[in-house]
Amino acid sequence: MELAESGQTWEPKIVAFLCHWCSYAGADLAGISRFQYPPHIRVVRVPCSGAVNPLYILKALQQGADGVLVSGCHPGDCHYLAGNYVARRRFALLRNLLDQVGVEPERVQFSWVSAAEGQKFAQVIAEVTAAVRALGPSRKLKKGGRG
Amino acid sequence: MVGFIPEAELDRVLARLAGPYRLYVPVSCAGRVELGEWSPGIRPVLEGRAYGTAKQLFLPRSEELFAFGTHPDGTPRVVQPERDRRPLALFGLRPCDARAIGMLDQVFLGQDPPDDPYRERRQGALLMGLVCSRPGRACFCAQVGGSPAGTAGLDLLFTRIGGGFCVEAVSTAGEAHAAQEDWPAATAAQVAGAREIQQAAAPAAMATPGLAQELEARFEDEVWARLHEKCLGCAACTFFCPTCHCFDVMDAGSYDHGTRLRCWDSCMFPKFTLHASGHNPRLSGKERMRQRVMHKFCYYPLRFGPEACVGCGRCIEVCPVNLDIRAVLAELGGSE
Amino acid sequence: MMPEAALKELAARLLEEGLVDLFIGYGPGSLPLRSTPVFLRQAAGAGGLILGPTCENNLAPYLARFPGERVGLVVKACDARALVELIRENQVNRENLYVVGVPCRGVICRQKLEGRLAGRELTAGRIEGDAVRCGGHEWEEAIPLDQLVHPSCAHCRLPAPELFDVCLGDGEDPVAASGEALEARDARDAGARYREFSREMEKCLLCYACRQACPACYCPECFVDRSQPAWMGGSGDLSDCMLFHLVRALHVAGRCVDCGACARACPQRVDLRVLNRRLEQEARELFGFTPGLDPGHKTLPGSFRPDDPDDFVK
Repeated sequence: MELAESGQTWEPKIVAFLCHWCSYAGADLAGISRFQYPPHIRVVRVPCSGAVNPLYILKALQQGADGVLVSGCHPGDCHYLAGNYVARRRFALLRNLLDQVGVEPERVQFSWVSAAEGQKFAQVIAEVTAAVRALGPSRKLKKGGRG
Repeated sequence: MVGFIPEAELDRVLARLAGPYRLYVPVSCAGRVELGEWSPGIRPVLEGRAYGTAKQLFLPRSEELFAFGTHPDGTPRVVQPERDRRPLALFGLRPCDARAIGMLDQVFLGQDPPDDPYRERRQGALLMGLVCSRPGRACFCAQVGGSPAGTAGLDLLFTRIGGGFCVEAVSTAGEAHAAQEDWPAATAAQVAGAREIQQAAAPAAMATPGLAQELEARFEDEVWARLHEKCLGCAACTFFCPTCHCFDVMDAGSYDHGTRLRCWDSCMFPKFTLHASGHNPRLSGKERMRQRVMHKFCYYPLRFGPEACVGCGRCIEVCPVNLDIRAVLAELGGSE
Repeated sequence: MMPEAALKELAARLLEEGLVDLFIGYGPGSLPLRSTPVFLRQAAGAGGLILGPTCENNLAPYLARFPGERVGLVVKACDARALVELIRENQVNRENLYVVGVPCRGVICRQKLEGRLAGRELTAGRIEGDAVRCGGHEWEEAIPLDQLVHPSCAHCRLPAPELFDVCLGDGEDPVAASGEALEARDARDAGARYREFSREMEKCLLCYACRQACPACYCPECFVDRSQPAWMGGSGDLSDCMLFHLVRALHVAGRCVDCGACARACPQRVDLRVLNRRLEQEARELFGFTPGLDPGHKTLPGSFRPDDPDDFVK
């Protein structure tokens, strides 16, 4: 049921693909350290940011996510040496493609968060949530058009 | 009786239909003729045949069969979709396209039980055909037993002569409609003019008797490898074919809330025959193309009589590599 | 010698002398101003080969069907660039190929032609110099070729084949390519861009003609054909069409040579090049990469530089 119909207020839904070696551990650290951040992310742990196929991101938007975050190790720190470098190219192209078709590129966000950066993780989530909230509900790629 | 509608009257005839019917006519659309819903001011295109098929009006690309969900108490809930219940009327339909609808009827209405969504759209539909005075470059209706002046599947046949149209009822529904409309009778000269155009259009019989039996024996023939060589394996030919009717039924949504859809499928897709085990009995494009040709020119005729091809030539036009089914038939032993 | 005559002679010789097992080129199609791919295994058929603005298909995708065979292939400049990418990605064995580069002045865009004909049926057509002579029932019209060339040809910046064993003709200038500048970045607002995107995607029937015609789309199993997980519904839902075309565009980003084969294959006239052109532009501007030129380089999506732009990463 659409939230608008049910009378509830809209809260952003954000899918966060976190790399196992850095950002997921960073999220863990944020939790252990009791850093507060908005509760809007749904975490999917992935082996590497380089394993995130743009299809996953677009599919999340199609299935109702209002925003997607992909977070991996800092450049140079990839557990698989270069996964995040390869991912970075792909994501640059994805953002520009979304912009071309008139979908807000801010719905798809990227960050480098290491296992030691619990504080940064909390801050990234706060920023991403605020950005997606500012954009409002995502409809442009969402299922439910024709058919 | 043959009625006559002056060209200037056509607009009023269509306007009267547009109330009780959802009326579709050939319209010009960015250089192409397409079937479009009629509204006042729209002038039907009377030359050439529509790029898209009339099939999509009776068997849409995708349709909702029903929506499902749960009531608050947890019991299942099924909701039938809202549809425009007005019957369809098609004006300017080419005889080949009407014949194709007759073939779809065979499949969706000729079986027990008939197909409900199809029947709903088909029942009460009024099909008004227009004789082709000049077949197009891709047309080959005569080769598959049709005619540019054929009446199969039609209710009313329009023949365009100087100054207007001769109208003949060619079905009981057509007769009922003609009686209701009470068109003035065509003069003997007008009727003669119409007959002349119909006869000029009607080609010598060129059907290929025995092709179905012949094909059945050539299932393993080496010729398929060569015939398939240039086929890219897309589904353009099947989606634009007026008689192709394969569909898939699928659920969209989650297991407890969603819609059940019926969508076009195509024998040209590898997934069409993919088994759950991962085995695919039609391994490559060669087997898939063979299936398409065999279904049209062997399996369907053996079961129902005529070929499942009306010779409209759309597959030839839309094929990205201009793979011509006429050439395929010629190579398989049918005459060209 | 005219390139077409030279082609016939060359193909006959290659087949006769056994230098190739198969020769893939173009022959006359069954409709006016259409050509069709032909597959020759004997020299006898070589006389039927043609060249010219009706040869709209990219023949490179066929190569995957003949592994181990020595194949002679006719390539226009854009087809040659597609071939460079296939060689780079180890999809084609260069040693088994005999590449015949042919001059190209741009191929006819059937959509533009339909627009000019405005519903009149074309019953005859031929190319005469720079004119496309069209004829039908009681009408005749000569249309300048440069008004009919496909948009990807009009923007073609590299009209001479870069990769060939033999290049026929002396590199004629493309009719319209000269000078037509690359579009600037789309200046319309996001709403307008989205509306255009939706309008194009609404037309899509998911017949996958674009994918099948594309030399870069060679995956043995496309993600849309996966059933576990089923990434795509088959219903032609608008969001599915969008998903397919966006993912396809990203898959071919940095590999697409803008040959336009996808757009010409589309029976619904979806403008597919909007996505590819933008990505091609990005590949050049962000990463200094032009697909289809040097088979020695690594692929764009398969490589990186430590100093790639990352100002968008938090």
